[in-house]
Amino acid sequence: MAVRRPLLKKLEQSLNEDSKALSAFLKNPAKILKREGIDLSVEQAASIQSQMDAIRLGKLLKLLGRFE
Amino acid sequence: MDSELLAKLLPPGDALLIVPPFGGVDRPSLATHLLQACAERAGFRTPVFYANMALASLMGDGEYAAVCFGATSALLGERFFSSWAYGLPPFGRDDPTIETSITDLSSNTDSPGKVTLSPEGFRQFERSIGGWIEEVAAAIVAAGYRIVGCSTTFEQTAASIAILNAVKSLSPGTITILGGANCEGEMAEGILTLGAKVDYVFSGESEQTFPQFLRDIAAGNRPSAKIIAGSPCRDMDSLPLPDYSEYFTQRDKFIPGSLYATGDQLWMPYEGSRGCWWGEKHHCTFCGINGEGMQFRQRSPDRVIADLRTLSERHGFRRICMTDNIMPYTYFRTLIPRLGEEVPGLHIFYEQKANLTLAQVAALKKAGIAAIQPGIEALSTGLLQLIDKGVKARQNIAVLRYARAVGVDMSWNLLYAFPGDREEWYRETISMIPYLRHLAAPSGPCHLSVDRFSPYFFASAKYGVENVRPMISYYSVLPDHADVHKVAYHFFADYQSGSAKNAALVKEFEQAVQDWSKAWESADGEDATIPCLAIVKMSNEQYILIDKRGIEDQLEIRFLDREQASAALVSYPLRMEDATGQWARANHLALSLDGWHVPLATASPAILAEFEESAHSQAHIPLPVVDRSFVRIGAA
Repeated sequence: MAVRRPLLKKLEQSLNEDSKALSAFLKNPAKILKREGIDLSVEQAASIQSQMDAIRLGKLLKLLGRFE
Repeated sequence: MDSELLAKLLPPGDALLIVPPFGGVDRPSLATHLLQACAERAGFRTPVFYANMALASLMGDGEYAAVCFGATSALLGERFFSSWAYGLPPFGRDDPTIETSITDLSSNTDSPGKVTLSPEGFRQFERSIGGWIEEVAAAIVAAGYRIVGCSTTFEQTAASIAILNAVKSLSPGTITILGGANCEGEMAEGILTLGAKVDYVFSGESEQTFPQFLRDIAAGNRPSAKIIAGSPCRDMDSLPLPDYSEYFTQRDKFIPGSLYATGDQLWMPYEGSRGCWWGEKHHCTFCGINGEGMQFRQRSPDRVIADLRTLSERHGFRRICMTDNIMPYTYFRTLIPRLGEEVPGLHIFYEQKANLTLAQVAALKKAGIAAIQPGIEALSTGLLQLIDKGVKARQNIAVLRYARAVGVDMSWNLLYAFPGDREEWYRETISMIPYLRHLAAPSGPCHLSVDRFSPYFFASAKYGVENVRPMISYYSVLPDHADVHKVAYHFFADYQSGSAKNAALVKEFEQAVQDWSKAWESADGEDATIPCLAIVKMSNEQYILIDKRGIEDQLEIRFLDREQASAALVSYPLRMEDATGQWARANHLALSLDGWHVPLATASPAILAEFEESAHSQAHIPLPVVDRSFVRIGAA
């Protein structure tokens, strides 16, 4: 996966400025990355989600989910 | 109290061993059941009676726990029995803080159960304890035991003495005995000054002396000395496995509807070792927990595995509290690699030395050790060196990160008011706390207690510690004729301390720790998130950093390249040319500490291991020698 740095910079900026977008990203990063034009394989998407679980964000996501 | 029930729970035997209030009801008593097993081996039957549960059943879960786990300085557990043991006024005497302590009990929100008694309700309960003691003593005497003993640790002495006095009054021929941690060393002499109707005090480890005592009594030979001193057990494998069946039976009878009725709040104790392998070489200056048994002794891995399997199968219960003061280091090589496979499904708590590697924390998790208590105590290397902890601040931060990454629960403390400490050490800690909020919060900060058996106590002059005197509340709960200095475990003293003399600094320290704890507590609230600083791998070149520490003006999401991710994940000695490291430190993703770049972020164990191994191999710095296969857990 080769990602143009400006693309990520732009996404970084928008996520930090928009709490709803951030919440959606934390819930499913791969989905947002793909939507922003970042090419991810099925394996990469699964790995990202698995890591999110491994760093114990599950509870965080659940809490964020309450307000959507 | 249901006298029929009491009678049923007091089966015939050669001796009765009592677990008095205010011992915790959330676990069986290892000490009494171990002595029971030793006695059984010698051919004697010694039932165990959980008087603590009997009282908890009358008092209520929340109320009992509030007393049991109340502030040490208040000695509440002693206060409820001091009038019945020593004829003092209710809750002790001459202490202006008593009323506040009782009021605080009613408003206690830290108790695992709900506290519903008013301050007046607690006072009335204290008055009713006399009747309860009489009922219990009458039932014990009716059961006809020749020997009746209590075990006292923490705040169980007054209750022990009240019960044993009552038994002796009803049955002067009954032999009364007392043992436990509160009888160790000189404290046994102190117990004898309490004027209690206690015939013998067992001091120190009693696995040999107690069965011998039973043999002597059976043979009609009463020991002439009132103190029966044990000696440290040198062969841990020679000790029998305790049987906790009576605990579970009595729990179901006394407190069937309590929060301890299910397994979630319970622990089953087991000891892999005694003493402290670190303390044998470097006694932490404040630690008195090993008493006179510092010499390190451990069970063989085969024995531990067999025992844990038996215990969990026998009692259908898998939450194990290892009572070791420090896990044997050799277990990383011997026990830990086997435990998870040979006794699967355990949920173990185990105290650790804090300088753990990622591989070791991962190995603990894989072995079923789900909660650890490393001896962190401080986050300043200067302070850690002062107290001879044998770890550096960066290692303490690392173990907090590893535990978060691997998913091991942590309990740990921050302490202050050490002899010879410096204000700047605490200021350094206060300044870094906001950046550590994604790591498990400590309890405390707690003021140092000068404890018996600690170097501050027995070598006080070496540390500039003077006028060592018992904690004031002992005088409130003990009779006039007591040798309080010999009874006490906690002491006050005079010494120079940069933190103790600076109330504003202490307040600032307390506030910083409180904010840290709140950040985690509020994660259960409606409008909160769990603090987090974690890296997720997108590809070998790109990473996502999620920062939910709640730091003002800090980006919550960053996309990092590999070098930046490494700077947030890997420690190394500070060097001159280090632009990426400087970037990480400037953005609070790492700290500069003791000449080291100290990373703060976490990641899945496999990603973290990959970065650490890569960085160390490039720098030709070997990782600690531990089987790397341990870290092969979690997502890649």
